[in-house]
Amino acid sequence: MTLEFNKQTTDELEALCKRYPKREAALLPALRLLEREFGSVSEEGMKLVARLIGVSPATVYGVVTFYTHYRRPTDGKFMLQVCATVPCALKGGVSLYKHLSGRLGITNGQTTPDGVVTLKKVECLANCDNAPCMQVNDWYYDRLTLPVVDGMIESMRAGTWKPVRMGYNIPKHKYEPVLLKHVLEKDSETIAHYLGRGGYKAAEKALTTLKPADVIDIVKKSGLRGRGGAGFPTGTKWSFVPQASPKPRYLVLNDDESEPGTFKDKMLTERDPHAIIEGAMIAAYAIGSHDIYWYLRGEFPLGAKIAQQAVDEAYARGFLGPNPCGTGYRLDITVHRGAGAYICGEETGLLSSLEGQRGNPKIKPPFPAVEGYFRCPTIVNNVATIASVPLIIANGPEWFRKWGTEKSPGTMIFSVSGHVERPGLFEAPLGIPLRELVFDLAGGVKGGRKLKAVVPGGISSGVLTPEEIDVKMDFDSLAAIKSMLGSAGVTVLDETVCMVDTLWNTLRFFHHESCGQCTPCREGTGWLEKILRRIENGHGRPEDLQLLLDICDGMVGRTICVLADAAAMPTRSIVTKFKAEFEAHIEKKRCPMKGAAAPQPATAGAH
Amino acid sequence: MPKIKINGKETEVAAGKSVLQACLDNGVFVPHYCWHPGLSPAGNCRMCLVKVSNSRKLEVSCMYPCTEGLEVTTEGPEIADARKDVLEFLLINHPLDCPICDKAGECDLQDFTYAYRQGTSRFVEPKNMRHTKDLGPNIRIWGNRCIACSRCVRFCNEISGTGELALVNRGDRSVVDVFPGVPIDNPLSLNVVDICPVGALIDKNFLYSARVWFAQETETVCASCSRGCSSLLTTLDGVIKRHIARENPDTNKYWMCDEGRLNVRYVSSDKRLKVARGTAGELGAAAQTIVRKHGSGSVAGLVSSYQTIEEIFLFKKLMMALKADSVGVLTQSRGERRTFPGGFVIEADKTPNRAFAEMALGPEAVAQGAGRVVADILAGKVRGLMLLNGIPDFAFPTDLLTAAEKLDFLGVMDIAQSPLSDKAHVLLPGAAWAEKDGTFLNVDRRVQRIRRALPPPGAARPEVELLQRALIELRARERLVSAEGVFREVTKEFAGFSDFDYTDVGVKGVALTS
Repeated sequence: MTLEFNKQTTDELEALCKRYPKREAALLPALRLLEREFGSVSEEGMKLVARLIGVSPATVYGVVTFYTHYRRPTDGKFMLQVCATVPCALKGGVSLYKHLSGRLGITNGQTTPDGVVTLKKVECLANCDNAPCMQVNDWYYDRLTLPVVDGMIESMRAGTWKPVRMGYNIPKHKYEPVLLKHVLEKDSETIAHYLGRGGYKAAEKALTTLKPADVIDIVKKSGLRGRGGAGFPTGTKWSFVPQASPKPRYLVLNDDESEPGTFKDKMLTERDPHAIIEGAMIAAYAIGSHDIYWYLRGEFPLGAKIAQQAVDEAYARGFLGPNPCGTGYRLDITVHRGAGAYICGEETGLLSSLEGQRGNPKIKPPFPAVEGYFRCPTIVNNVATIASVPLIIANGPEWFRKWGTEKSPGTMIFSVSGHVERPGLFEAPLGIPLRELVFDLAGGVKGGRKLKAVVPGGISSGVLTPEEIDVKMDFDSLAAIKSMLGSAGVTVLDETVCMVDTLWNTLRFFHHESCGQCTPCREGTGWLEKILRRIENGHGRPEDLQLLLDICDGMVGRTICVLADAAAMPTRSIVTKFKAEFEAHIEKKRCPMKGAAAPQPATAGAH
Repeated sequence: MPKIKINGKETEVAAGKSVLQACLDNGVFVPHYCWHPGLSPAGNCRMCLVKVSNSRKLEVSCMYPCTEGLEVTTEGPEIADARKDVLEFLLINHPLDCPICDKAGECDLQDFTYAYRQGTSRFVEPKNMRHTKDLGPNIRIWGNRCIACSRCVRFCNEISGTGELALVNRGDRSVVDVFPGVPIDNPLSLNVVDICPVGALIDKNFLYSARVWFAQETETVCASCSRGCSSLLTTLDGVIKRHIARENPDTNKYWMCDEGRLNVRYVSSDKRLKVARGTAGELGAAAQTIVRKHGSGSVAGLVSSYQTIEEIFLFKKLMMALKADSVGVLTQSRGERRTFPGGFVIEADKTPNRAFAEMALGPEAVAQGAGRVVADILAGKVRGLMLLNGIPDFAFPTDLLTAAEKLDFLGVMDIAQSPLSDKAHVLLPGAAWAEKDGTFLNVDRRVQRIRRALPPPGAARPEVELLQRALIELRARERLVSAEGVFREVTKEFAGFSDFDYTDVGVKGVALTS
């Protein structure tokens, strides 16, 4: 059977293709259209897309199998994606998955015989403050309990299931929020609300009164550093765009938030998208770009919808389009959705994905600022970085430096998850002590238990012991103790946690997410995970500890991107700092903590 | 032109070259898997790590640009350790099934592992399993052996432009595959087997047929079209096992078409002529009898452009000795000249030596000669015909078959049985392309050598010998020399050949001087 798109979809695809420099770049959106019209990505569907996009069917097949999100024809009506990554696992995510698996009689990736439910164990959904969580089709479900999921299954089978929109956690604390100031206000995502609080004034100021070089200078002076993980100075990055290049320049907004333990970008996207758009206008103007791509995680359907609405509003009000703020400086934003791949948060992997390919990172140099999207100068900025820009332009660089340290100025949105009394987003000055963040702002370890470890910057960062939590939460202080601030995803682990199990879970994530290009990462992540699985299951050998460290040595610094390093960093830190736990597993030939305290979701709950 | 230092030795490098390319050009070998000179670099195997003065980390030399003053170190304990690590990683999920792998003996995974003395593995976990299946009519994949270097995928995207292959799945589940139901079946498909650095992609025609270390390899030139791709013929116990591409920047770069690889099967066809009727001397004598009886012009000749320069040259001499004025050339064309996105060309002319036939016998003889010979036979002017054909499975024109009925004498030198060989008064089995020495002049006027890789079957003899014996019989020649000796005679008579000899032609050929 040969498939064809209907007229509306065909027109939509043609319009989409025009928004990219090359037709093949529209491959991921075309697959979304395919899913929308036919319910899944079938072989015939892939052939259709290949034909319409102008690539070979094998290329489409390679792309579809790289990402995890495309629905297969055999998938059920409801796709249950249960997060089993560390922050959710600490709150019973793995047990929740096992419960569902037992109840439905299916395992990972399978569909119930009645075709109603497909169950998937997935990696971090960036909803860690609401652990354990899962995604049902396009909808997130928070703080799940066993009765709630049982009820959901019943309603799905009975045909009475209705989506429920979940809430946000922004606990009040002593620091005045800056970026998060308005996110909980009603209709904060609308342009009316944004204009009502002085929105788009900064863009107008930049585009009408400042030269691009002045904008870069102001951002440089503010000391703003990237909020996506690497902490590179934003203004400096912008200044790398070669001024003489005749090629088009691109600004890409990295909203592929996927570092486990981090959920700040999702909040900004869903609750304050116009701050991102305004920041993007200023940044694009500064680097001489007219075309902006807003790359959102595939797991953020709600965010994508809101982002698109906000972009549409901004077009309607003339902030985007041919004549923003009456300047004639054309600005276009295209909202682009990923499809489930952590590596697309890495800027060159993201660009590959945005070019319609598998999300393989590219060798640097050349850096994207010189040769990025389709080999043209490209700046990739995290959306939280971008959302900071209008405030800096409006209030000046010195204002921004009111917070934070000399080298890490400004506030940071800390995502706090795990065993704390108040998980959620905490915006606070960079450089506050981790102890303050955990014990003061987030209310300390839940239930008065003892602290065992803290992951300070997403699970790629080196784990800290209770003795190390006086460290200041800024880029340089954490780097000095062989960890990193990263994306400031702070996960707190109490005394009941098995560190071997936690490392196994962490490595399962990296094994699952390695793109597979570079030998050391492709093979190393899998090898590490298999060893951890063996140790956790009671088959460890004394020589495994040294072997784990040796494997890390073979991975760090030997690959195109830093995913290999990201897998090695927690491995090295946990193996060395919690060596005794590994030795206990090996000696006792079992996990000493298993059974006693495997984290469970609540058997009854508030929902 | 930046100057760089490789292991302390200064050298000048063409702008834009990678460190790896610069090393290889300067005779410094750096092990690598994913890099291939004919493809875009990918930088994924991480085997070609070297130390460069601009970086604290080791860098992949295949994607590191040569800049002025760069100092490159290709060997040392740190580099060796890194390469050993890569090899250990490559082997953890590799099946190590070398005993039944066709790539054994010419496998980079074997060779580099051997070079770096990786004898033991610390991997005690279960290995990943990936598919083993047909990817197309000629290609089968052993996915467990695949190191995901992406050479084959890049070939199909960049050179053949057909895009049938892709890496599918992610991480250590990655493996090369085709789209379901769309096999790899393009005219250049088997190149992916040549460039697979391990035994993942296997030519089904070669599967389990020879251990390469027992086989002989002969550097030759493909005769399947007038391009003349440099090739390597693998034989074992007198049987052709495979025919693969050989690097030659001036003709085929690194590639070759499937037709050229696979149509060598005709060499061992059942239809090969193995028994002679008469001798070369009798051939010459019988033709001369016709000439004596009916005068000059009563014997004509047909020679195919599949024959070597030496053979066409001697055939012309024979025709002169027999006072023939009708000489025609048998050629074979099929389809259109095809240029692939990577620049590779398959010519429509399916014979290897048309250019020399035109040079020696004139363009008219090639274009219309055969028709004229037929007309002369039908008109009764020609009573005897000398036929020298080596085109495999050649379909003789029907008017020639009809005309042949009228001949008083038909002498045939050919490699396979045909209606004309059945009718021949004297029949001399010839040697196929793989069974003799000689040269062809390709479409770009490049002289290239073929070499004998196996003996001709039965009574078959190389045609240079048969033609010389006939000439000796006619007293038009004094002694029998080798193909190389005949070539020396050619170079004296034909402009452009200067004073080339077989050594000058070498393994990569030489362009005629203008």
